Amino acid sequence: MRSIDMTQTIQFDPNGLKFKIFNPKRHQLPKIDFRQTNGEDPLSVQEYYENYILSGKSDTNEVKYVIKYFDDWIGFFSIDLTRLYAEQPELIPQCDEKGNRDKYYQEPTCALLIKKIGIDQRYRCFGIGKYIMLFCSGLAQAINKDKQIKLVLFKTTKSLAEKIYFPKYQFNFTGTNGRLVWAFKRIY
Amino acid sequence: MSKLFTVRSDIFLDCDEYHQINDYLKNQINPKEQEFLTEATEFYEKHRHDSDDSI
Repeated sequence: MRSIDMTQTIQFDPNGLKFKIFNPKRHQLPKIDFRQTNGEDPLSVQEYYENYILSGKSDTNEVKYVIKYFDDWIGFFSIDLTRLYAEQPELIPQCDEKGNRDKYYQEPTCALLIKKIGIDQRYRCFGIGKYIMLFCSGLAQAINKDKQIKLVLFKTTKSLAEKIYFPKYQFNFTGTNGRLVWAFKRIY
Repeated sequence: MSKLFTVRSDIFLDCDEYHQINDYLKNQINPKEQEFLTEATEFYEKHRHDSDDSI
């Protein structure tokens, strides 16, 4: 068993990562701390993990992946395909599929939504978030045979978007005033 | 794979968010994005077979 007392001085080996579709009958994960280092859980990641993965229940629609680093379970993420609309469609003139102009019609934007991302506190700062983004973006491209999926997106804190997801991985983010933002990147 | 991934949900964004995302999609893909997506394809191909039912 590989030691989990890792420090940033130990080189992280991305070849040790494994992404598995969560199967509650086969995968029994331990209790893991997914909260922020200050104990906060603004994206309800810990709550999600305890309710839908640790408990062994899998009664949500989205697909859940659990992540191993060599022998250790270190994280998870859940994904779904979603359609994006504007709340007030009358403000966005659109044409329907027949070319008829109808101010109430919207052509939705299809996106791969990463609903939750959890990385064990002890494995932060190894760039695991980047590998999750690479996996999800690669997956989105692999299943996008009809080119309907335009984006990968997820909700995150403005702080993480500003400090990590935009500068390191070029994920744009919405400029809302709240604490949470949508981070997004196109696929094709 | 296709059975696993079907559209199941709708998200309603406020208009500013919706416009920001659509304006972004109208722009040409830039070289850094292209590089990331190439890396993503390679990474996914390398790891997609992890995703079986094995422990």
